[in-house]
Amino acid sequence: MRKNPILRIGAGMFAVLLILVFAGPYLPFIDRHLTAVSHRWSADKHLILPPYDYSSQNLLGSNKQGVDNLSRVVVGARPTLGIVLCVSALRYAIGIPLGLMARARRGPVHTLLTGMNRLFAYMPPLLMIAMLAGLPLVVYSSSRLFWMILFMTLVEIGRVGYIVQRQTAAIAAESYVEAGNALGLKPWRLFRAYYLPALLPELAVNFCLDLGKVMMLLGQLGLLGIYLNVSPEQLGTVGQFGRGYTGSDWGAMISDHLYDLFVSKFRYVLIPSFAILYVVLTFNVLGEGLRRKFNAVGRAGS
Amino acid sequence: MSIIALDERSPPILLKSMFRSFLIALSVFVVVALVVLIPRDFTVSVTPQYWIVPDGSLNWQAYGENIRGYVHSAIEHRTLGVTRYGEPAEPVVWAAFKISLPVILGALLAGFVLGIPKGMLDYALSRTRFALLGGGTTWLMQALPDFFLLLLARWYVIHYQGSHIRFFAQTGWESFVIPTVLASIYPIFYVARVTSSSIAGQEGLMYVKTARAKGMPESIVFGRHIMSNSLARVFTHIMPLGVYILSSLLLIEYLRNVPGASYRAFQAIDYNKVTASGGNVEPGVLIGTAFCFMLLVLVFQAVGYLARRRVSAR
Repeated sequence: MRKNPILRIGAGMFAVLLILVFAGPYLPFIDRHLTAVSHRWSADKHLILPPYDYSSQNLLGSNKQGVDNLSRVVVGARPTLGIVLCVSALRYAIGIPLGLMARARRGPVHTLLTGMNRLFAYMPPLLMIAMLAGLPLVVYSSSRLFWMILFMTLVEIGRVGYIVQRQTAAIAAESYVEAGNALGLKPWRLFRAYYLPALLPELAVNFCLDLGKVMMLLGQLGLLGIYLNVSPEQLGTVGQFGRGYTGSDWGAMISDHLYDLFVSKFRYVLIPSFAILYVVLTFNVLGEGLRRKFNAVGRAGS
Repeated sequence: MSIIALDERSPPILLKSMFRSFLIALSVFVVVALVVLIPRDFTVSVTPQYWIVPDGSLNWQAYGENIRGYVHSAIEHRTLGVTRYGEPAEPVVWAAFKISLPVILGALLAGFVLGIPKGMLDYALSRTRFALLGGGTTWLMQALPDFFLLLLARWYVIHYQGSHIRFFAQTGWESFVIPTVLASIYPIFYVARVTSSSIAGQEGLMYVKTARAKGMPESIVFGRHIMSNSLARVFTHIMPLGVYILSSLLLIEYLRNVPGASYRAFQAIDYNKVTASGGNVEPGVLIGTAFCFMLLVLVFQAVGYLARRRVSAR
């Protein structure tokens, strides 16, 4: 960590995020249950209706139902980061084996990776996710969140696979790997003792950056009004055909206030956007710090 | 100096590579069409308590019907389909694409024209105490989420301005300048990073040392030797850059409410959080848009391929 201030800053920002996720909801000024305060009385007995302005009670104001904005951000941190982690982990869990299998730059897996990368070039990821998210199958499914995580994973597996493929191809050209090949080692042993140690640092950096990318995707989907989560109750009653979207993630928070954006009220949308900005920057700083750390190690070793 | 000069030995390999790309493009195109044609119908049943229960599970038979019907009508009427207003899809897609194309090309051009000097500056500053101003700003601008910058831009232009810029303009200079500026932010800093790292990669190579040892002025070593090699390397990144611009286009058009290619395609999806994508899905528009994007990406790919050949020829 010495002489690597960027990694230190990144770790600090990440620690703040972790505290927010795990201890945040229990802080005294956070309303963990997100109660909707329907009205308040001022000191001179005037009725105040939500949305409440910035005050000591609502540091970031409240929404139209009277739910405190700061509490929404803090309580929403856990589902948001959970989804982000899930998507990134899935991308790497699927992308790494695909990239390893395609390391010779030919064969069916290589074609599959190329095809996936092309697919999301011709049909940009946001459009593709919107198209899939709008299917009745996904809208009227109680497991919408799982579908959405799957779609968000799918659109970038090709890129992850490509990164792994490129690095593995570079490692395969190294003479110590050739030595391993010549010894007739089993593929698993080759992977574990030869490829993985050389692959890991770069993958850790890319994983960090990928977390930032997924966070950004979540915000973009929020801005398009595409909710990730849906309430368990399926419907309304007679004459009312409604869907309850209960997700408390930051994307949903942006989506909840899209109409405010249309009437040029930016406050509600900018609050979760700043939260997303913080997370994206955290993971980018952390990734850059890790890259410097591993580069320094590589130089010292060579 | 022409970066994209055609190498006379290249055609056979270029043709083979392009043919392979074309095959992949075609199969990918079929996948897009298959996703677009998934039926959007759902059934609704009412319980004795008058609860409405929608059921959206996939009906494979209807899916098959959908594909068959689409292919049949496409062959019979020689059209990609009709829009929700009954117009043929092709002119609609073309009109939308014509709105977006100048922005895409403008952003790409701005990315190279402004990004390369920025990259040279970053490299020049990298060994001074102003390194943070060079590479640091480039890194920061790349790390910022695009939708956040778009929101800030919209907020700023609407709320704080004395110059009366029309953010939502569909005609006039703003209709080109605003989206191009927004779309070129990321490309500029991407190109800057690639440029400065590829200059750094040339540093210390034999041909540079030789040129210096011969007593060439530093300006010629840098301009003729290093830059001409680095530039070709930068241009190999045209495809990822173009693809990035294509995918960032949607939010720019969405926030400016301009029906360019991406936003028109988004409208064609007819996304609705309550009733799912309903009856207004326009498969023709979606397939047509994907086709336009495909052609554009193939052009980027060809340019990137030529640049790569130039790099490897050296």
